[in-house]
Amino acid sequence: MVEKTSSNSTATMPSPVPGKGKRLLAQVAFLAALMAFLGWSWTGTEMNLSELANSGPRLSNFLSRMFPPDLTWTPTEARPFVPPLRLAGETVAVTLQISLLGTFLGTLAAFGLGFLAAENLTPRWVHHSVKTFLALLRSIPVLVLALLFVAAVGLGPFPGVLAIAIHSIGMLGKLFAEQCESAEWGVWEALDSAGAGWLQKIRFAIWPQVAPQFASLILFRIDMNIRDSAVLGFVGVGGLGLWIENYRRAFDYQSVATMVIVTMLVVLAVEQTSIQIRRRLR
Amino acid sequence: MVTIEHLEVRYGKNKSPALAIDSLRIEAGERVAVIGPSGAGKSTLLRSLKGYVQPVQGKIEILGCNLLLASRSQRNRVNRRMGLIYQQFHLAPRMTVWQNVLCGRLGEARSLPSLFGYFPKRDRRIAWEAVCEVGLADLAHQRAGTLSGGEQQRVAVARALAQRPSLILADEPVSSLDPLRAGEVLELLSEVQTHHDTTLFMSLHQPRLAKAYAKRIIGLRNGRVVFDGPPDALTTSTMEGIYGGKNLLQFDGDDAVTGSR
Repeated sequence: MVEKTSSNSTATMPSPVPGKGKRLLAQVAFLAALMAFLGWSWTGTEMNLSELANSGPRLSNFLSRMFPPDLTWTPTEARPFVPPLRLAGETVAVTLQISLLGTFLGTLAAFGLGFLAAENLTPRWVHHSVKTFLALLRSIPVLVLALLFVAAVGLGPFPGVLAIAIHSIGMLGKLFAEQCESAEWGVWEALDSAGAGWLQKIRFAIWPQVAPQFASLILFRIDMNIRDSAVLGFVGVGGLGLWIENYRRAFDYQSVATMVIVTMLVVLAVEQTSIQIRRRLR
Repeated sequence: MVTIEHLEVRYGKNKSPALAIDSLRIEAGERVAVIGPSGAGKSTLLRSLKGYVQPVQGKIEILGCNLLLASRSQRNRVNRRMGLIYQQFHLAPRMTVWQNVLCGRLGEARSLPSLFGYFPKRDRRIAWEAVCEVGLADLAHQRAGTLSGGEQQRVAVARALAQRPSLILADEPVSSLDPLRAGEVLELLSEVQTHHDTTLFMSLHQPRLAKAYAKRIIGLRNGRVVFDGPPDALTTSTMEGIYGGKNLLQFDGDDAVTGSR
C-alpha cells in the first residue's frame, strides 16, 4: 500500500523547475553570443596585452614630466603662460558658470518637453515626436555641438553654455518624462473627476509627485555638465579644459598636472555637495 | 438623478459582459450601496457613470444629460457635479490637507491663477467649509501623506465635497480601513449625504456595512442586478443569490448590524 501511493505521487510530481531544459539552452546561447561579441570587439580594437605590459617606462616617463605639479605663484620670463595656481580661481569660476547656466537653460527647455514626452500625459503623436526629437538631441556628441557653436558665435565660454544647454535637454527631457510616466495615476483621475484641466492636473497631480526626482536629476546633470564643460576647453571653450590644453601645447606638463588636480577637486566637491542636497530632498 | 437603460459593458473580447443592466433608476437624495462578489461589476458600474468606462451600448442619463450622446463640455459640466471617492484615497501625499481639498475646486477656478496656487475667496470658503465638515481643520496644514488611512479618506471626502456635488460616488471607500475607521468614514458619508441633501452611491465589500449605512441595496452578480431593495429585504437567502454560496459566515443576519439608522 505504502509503496503504491509513493510511486503514484512520484509519477504525478512535476519536475522541480518547469521548462528547465529550454532555459538552459537559452542561457548557453546567450553566453555564446556574448563571447562572440567580445571576441569581435577584442580583435577590432587591436587589444594588445604585451604592448600594455611593456608600457611601464613610457608611462612613467610621461608621469615624471608631470611631477611635481607646478605650485609656483610668480610668473617667470622663461614660461609663456602664467603659473596655473594664479589662474585656478578664474578658470574654475568660468567652468562653474558655463555648467550652471547651461544646465539652467537646458532644464527650462527639458521641463516643457518632458511633460510633452510622457506617454501618459499626451496623445500618441505628441509624445512620439517629442521623444524622437529628444533622442536626436542626445545622439549629438557634446564636442560636436561645441564645435558648431564655436563656429557660430566664436571662441569663449558662450558657445560652451549653448552646447551644454542643448546637450542637457535630451537627457533631462527623457528622464523627466520617465518620472511622469511612473507617477501614481490615481490622483490624476481624482482631479480629472473634479473637472481640472490638463495644466491643472499636471500642476496638482503630477508635479507634487515628481518635483523631488526632478531636482535630483537636475543636480546629477550639473555633476555631468561640470565634467563635460571641462572637456569642452579642448575645442576652444573657456574654463579648466582650455588651460589644460594650453599648457599641454606648451609642453608644460607640471602645470597640466596642477590643472588636472584642480579639476578633480572641483568635480569631487560638486559631487559631494549634490549628494548632500539629494539626500536632504528624500 | 441617474437613469440607466440597457447598459452593456465588455472588457476586451470576453464572452460575458462585465456589466449588463436592463434598467436602473436612482432618485435624488437616495443613499444606495452596491454589493456583490469580487468581479461582479461594482466598480465598473460606478466608473461608467463617470465616463471612465466606455459601454458597448445603452443609455446613461445623469442630471438630465445623456452621457453617451452629450458633447464634451456638457459631459464636463455633469462630471464636475459628481464627486468620486476611491478605496486608495488618491491624494497628493506631499501636498497639505488644505491644498488637496482646494483641488476639488479646480473645475470651477480659473486655470492660470490656480496654477500658482491662487484660488478666489469663494472657492477657498467652500473648500474650508469642507475641511471643517470632515473635522480636519486642525490638521489642515499637514501633508496628506503623514495622515492615517481614516484621516486620508476624510480628506478625500472633503475634496469631493468641495466640488459641491449632486452625486457622490464612493468606490469601496472603506475597504482599506480597519473596522472602526470604516464605520467612522461611512458615518461621515451618511451625515454629509443627509446634510447636503445629495445622492450617495457607493460600492461596499461587506453586506453588513451596506445594511447599516444604506437605505437601498443593489446586489450585483456577474454584471447583472440580482437584488434591489431596502436593507430589511436582504435576507440570508437573497444573500446566497448574490454571492452564490451557502454558509456565508460574514453575514450573520440582523445581529451583526450595528449603528442601523
